Amino acid sequence: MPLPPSNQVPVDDVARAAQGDTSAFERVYSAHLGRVHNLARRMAGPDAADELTQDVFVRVWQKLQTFRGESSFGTWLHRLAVNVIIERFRTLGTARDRFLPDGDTVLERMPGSLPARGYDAGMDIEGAMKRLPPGARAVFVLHDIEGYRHEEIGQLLGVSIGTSKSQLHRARMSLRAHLTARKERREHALD
Amino acid sequence: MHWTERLSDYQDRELTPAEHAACEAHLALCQECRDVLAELLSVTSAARADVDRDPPHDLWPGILSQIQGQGLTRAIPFRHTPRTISFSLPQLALAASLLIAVSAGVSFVAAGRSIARPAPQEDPIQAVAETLTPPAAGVVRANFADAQFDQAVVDLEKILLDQRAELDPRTVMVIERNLTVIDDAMRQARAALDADPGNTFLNSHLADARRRKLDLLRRATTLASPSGD
Repeated sequence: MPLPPSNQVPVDDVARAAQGDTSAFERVYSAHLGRVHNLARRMAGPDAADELTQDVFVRVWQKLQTFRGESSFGTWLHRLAVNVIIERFRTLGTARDRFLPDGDTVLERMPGSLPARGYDAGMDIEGAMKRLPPGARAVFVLHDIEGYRHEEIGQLLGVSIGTSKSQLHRARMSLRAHLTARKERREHALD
Repeated sequence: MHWTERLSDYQDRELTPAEHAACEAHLALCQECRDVLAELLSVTSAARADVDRDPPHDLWPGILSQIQGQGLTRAIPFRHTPRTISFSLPQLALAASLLIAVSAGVSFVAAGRSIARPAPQEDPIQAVAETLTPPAAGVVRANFADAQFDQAVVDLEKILLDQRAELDPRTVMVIERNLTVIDDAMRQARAALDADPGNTFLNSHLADARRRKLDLLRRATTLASPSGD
């Protein structure tokens, strides 16, 4: 389960926002903006991140009255954000078929043999993630960055646990191949 | 077994104990798999170390503008009054069937299909809050052109907002849920139409969703009006 956000919102602000107080809701927005926007950027890319973030907070406003406090507010909001982003994938017709295990293209760039070297700490993980198909990227972000379990990812994306696992492995292998090739090019340029 | 394909499961401790032991035995003998595993671990570490960034500009004005424009679909405190009105079961069933119809339409849209159907004639709708006061706010005409539709919705939502204390909170909740679903359906249809503006089915679907929203608002305002029961 994802950790709550680093920025905590006073409970009073959540309650006031649920009662229609837009000033309180602005404080809720400010506290959670960073995490939501980063989630949107990683899952959908920087071009769509702003619009998706707005959609998430509009949905949060609409749903605030349904928040029962059964989980932390940050966890509730984060799950809602994931759902909004996934809904967008589906609306755009990019989702379900790509969430299914058709990700062979993910491995297209993978070399047959790779050197036994690690990566630099500063490697361009975000640039590499952009190259993943939406489904594999969503699984990778949810599992390796956001900390969701495969069971939860399966429920969110509407796929089996096995599909979630295989997509994660494909994503990791693709990122590894891409980043290794990038590093090799960089080293070659320095020679 | 090709252990390269199981290294993520090994990394995440998703293997059975027997598989885990077998994988470790393989790793002890296979330099290539050890290299791959090390690189997979590096990928995960790098992803988790990816720093958060602030958005390039403030998104609040756009959010505020949307939630202020939604009227009924926002959270508003209830004012309790002795008089309560509830939807009957048939009315709730009608609402449920509406949700199913809207959802089915949206699913069809999401599937990206295109069916050439003649667009239905859009007779102007008279969105009337029949028993409301003041009378000047009573009649809203809409022919589904965006501006007219939006104005009709705003007018009806304002009427409903002013009179929502007359409604049972559960009824308000049902109305709000329905409106949220319809709003979502319309937003999705508009997004799909951006990609395929000439799709007659999508146009028809959007017009139908708008008609349903106006109808729902009109019914709600009628229920909320002093003589609505």
